[in-house]
Amino acid sequence: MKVGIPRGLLFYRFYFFWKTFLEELGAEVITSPPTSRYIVQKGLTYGIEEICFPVKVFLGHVLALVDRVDLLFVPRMVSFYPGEYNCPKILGLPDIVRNLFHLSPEQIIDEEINARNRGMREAEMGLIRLGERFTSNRRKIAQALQKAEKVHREYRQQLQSGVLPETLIDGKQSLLPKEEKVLLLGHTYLLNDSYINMNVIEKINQLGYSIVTPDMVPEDRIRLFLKKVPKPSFWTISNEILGTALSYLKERDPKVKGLVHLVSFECGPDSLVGELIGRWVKKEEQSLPYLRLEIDEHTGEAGLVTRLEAFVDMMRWRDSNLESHFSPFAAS
Amino acid sequence: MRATFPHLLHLDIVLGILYPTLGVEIVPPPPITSRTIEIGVEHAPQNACFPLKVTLGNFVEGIERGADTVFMAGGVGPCRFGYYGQIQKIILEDLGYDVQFVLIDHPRFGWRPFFQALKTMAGGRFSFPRVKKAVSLAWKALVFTEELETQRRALRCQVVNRAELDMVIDGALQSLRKVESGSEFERIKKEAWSDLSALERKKENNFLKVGIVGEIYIAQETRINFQVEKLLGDLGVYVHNSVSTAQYVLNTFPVLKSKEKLEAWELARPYLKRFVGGEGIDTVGSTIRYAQEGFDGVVHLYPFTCMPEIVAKSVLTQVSRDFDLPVLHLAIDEHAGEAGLVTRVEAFVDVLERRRKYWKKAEGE
Amino acid sequence: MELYLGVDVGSVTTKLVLMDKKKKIWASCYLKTSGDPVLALKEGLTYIEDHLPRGGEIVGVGTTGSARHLAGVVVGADIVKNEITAHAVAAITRVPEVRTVFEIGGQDSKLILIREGVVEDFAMNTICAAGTGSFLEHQAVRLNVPIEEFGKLALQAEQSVRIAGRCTVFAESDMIHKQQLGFAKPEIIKGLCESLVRNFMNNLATGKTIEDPIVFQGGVAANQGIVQAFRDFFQGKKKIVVPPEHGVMGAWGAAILAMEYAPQETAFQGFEVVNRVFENRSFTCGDCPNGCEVVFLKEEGVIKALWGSRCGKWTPETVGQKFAESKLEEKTDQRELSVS
Repeated sequence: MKVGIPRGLLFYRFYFFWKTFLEELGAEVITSPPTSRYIVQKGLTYGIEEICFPVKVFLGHVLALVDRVDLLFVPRMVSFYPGEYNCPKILGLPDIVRNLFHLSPEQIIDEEINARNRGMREAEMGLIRLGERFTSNRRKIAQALQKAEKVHREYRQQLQSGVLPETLIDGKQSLLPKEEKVLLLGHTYLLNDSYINMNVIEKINQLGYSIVTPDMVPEDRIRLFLKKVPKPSFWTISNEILGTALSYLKERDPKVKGLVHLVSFECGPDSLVGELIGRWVKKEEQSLPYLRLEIDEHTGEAGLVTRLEAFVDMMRWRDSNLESHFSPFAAS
Repeated sequence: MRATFPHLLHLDIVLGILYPTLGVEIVPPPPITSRTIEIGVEHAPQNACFPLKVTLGNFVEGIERGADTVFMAGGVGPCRFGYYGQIQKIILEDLGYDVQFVLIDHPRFGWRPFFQALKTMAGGRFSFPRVKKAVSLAWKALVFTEELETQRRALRCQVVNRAELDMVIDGALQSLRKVESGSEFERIKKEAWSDLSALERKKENNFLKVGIVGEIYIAQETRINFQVEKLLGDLGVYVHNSVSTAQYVLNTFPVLKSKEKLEAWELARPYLKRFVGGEGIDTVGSTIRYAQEGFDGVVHLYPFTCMPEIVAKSVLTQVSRDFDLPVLHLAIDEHAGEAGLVTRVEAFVDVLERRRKYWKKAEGE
Repeated sequence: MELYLGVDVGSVTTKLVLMDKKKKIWASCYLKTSGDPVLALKEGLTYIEDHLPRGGEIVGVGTTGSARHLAGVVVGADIVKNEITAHAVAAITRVPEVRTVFEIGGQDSKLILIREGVVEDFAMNTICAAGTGSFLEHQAVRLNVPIEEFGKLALQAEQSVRIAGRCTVFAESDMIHKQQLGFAKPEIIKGLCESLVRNFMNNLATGKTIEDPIVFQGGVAANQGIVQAFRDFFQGKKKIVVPPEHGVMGAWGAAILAMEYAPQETAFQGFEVVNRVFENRSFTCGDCPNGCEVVFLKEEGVIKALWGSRCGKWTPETVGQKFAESKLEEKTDQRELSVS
């Protein structure tokens, strides 16, 4: 049976997990090609006007798969962290896809994966229900699950060591190591899709910086700093962004010279979480230079490059100014 | 303590009844005007949803009137509303307002802060009989204000003199502001009903019927939604609104979930299988119910970029097709223009009228 | 001969159509509104009077467009209709089998879906200027190309360049950037046309099934470059019709609606309206922070109609009193009066 995984939204987080799990269950996994202008165009004509750009891109990927596979893999990722949610659009994603493409229940895998109320055990139950689509052999499902979890852990460890998802998935060239770093925040589907983000990672690298993303920060560290927020948000990825930002603001790494937040123009969670980060940054003494980059289908590459270059100038200028503080004749 | 709070249609009337009994002085923000919106838009995050901006404007205007405390409710997500308070609190702090921000949040985030907030909001002294009596009258008043608005929507197309209708309803709302006892309340209520039934009606009764669905704030707050219901009524349309604050309050308690709501969720299921935050699933369910009840069309009101309503809108296209029910989507924010909105509503009513004529002709043949 | 008059007063242009009982157009005109709808109306009426066929008599008047209520009072309308319905009615009259209408005017754009001669669905864009005629006109000025030449130039381009941008401001900066990169004018113009079409489709048509024949109308339909860009967008697979009356479809629709309405006796004020003195005035009410912009129309010193009072406190009578009390009457030559 051919199962299609659209390359969008949580793909860059769970690709290896899903692929291993499905293959162990005997499915043939087909992935949509990397995002291209064609896929974006298709997505734009399908998604309603106001829905966020990443969902539109996801719909483009669905369209690239829908006629080529027996089953479309759009699990309902309600929550993958106890007590938290994903954003409403991800909660409703299988329904959006089902209605737009007129899919019957036999054509789409939309089982609910939800760790919110009763933790990972509950999420596993969802995965087992999903597995039962392929086999009634519970043991086989449990083994597939175990293997998938193992592969996923290894993948996450590799990300933590600084490897980029696109390198692991598509063999994309890794970055040149640089002495100084930029902390790059954003949702996984923006940071890791180099077509959507117009190669922002490579561009920053070429301007002379390595990258730190939330994927590269140990989870316990993120969660430790998140505890300092009076009420963290409900959204897991946004919380990881918050925790990462706070950890680098409160415990400075002298090599990290600036903070870039990549946001999708219509993103609901980021409209609030981004505001919090912006206000935190302002309140810090000798704060990190901060840039908020909004991305959607209308973003022009020229404008993006201009902003990045100006930001790099700002980081360098700030750096030299800070050093001059040690000089007794520093201008105030 | 002088506390202010956000507006939501007639919430100020309800809290005005509740609070004097509890011994908390409240300072209602002035009615929502362009200035409220301007203040909210100036200080709120640019891409935040519109209700956050308007309620922030309420807080600032309430503080300007002398409030030193802000009452606000929280939530459990995944819609942004539950996080409004966190953001608004910081914004007010950064603006330099020295106010106490009392946020009543779901006990999920801790029972202790929940009870503390409740205690502060109940005037410090937590005397159960007092609270019970105050809440019971305020609750009745809330239900009554909603019943009045339901009548206003339904009767606008039917009465000969619309100004009289507004006079009766606004008059009843005004006298509610001064109500102190249960008996007084009953008298106002009785009077309003008899005044309403005395209004002269038109002879015809085959009005176009339009249902309102959408996000709780925009679908109800007439000062924000350009009085869409009034506009429809003036065009001769019978209007029903599926959104209600009283229902919303009840439904936050799992045991009190109304049958209506559960039914709406069941109806929505073939299109939207689960709760996606806010009123997303209710929007879909109520639209289907309106179709089944023979309504001519549905107007979907929501804040621009509202996440649950965008999910609902994505599946409503299919609902609209399957039930052959026209749906007009109106996204509201500070950029929405009245002229464009009026044109669309008028054109929508034309569509409904022409459809009726067409079907009548088709049936006749 | 019994004739019907259709009037469409938009924010950028004013259109008038004179039509007979067979919906045949006898005269039509297309004028700039230039911020003075009353003046534009008078000019239009003078033109129509000059072209009135012998023995012609106006028995019904319909108005539409963003200033439809104002026009309705000035001319004396039997029916005042929104422009979506008016455009749809005209398109159905011209092409009875029409399934889709694209209308791009100066300040807004519309998409109307029609099934079996009945409007099924519509979308209207009033926020984004990047899908309207003003956008093109603005860019034409930037590129120093007369707007009339725009379409012709676009057709000369062999390839196009992609212009990004959500709104005019961003599109403009991206266009300048592309110019600096050395793209030729025709290529940039073609890119602009494609950008407008893309914005139109993405803003209005997502999730809707576009079936042909498509009737493309509104002032922008005169632009060959845009027509071609729409054809390219559909890869030539959809039939697009640009009716010869494309510029005055709204006014024509208003005339047809007036005929359907069939007034017993028309409210038409006659052509001597052009000799009357109308004053279109406004003031900002300062009684609450809403600051309603109250607009009223005075004829020979008498307030005939009034708009924009949200709370309903301003009526022709109360405004009249207010002005009498504050003796602001003397300053009648002042366009905007402020009352606080």
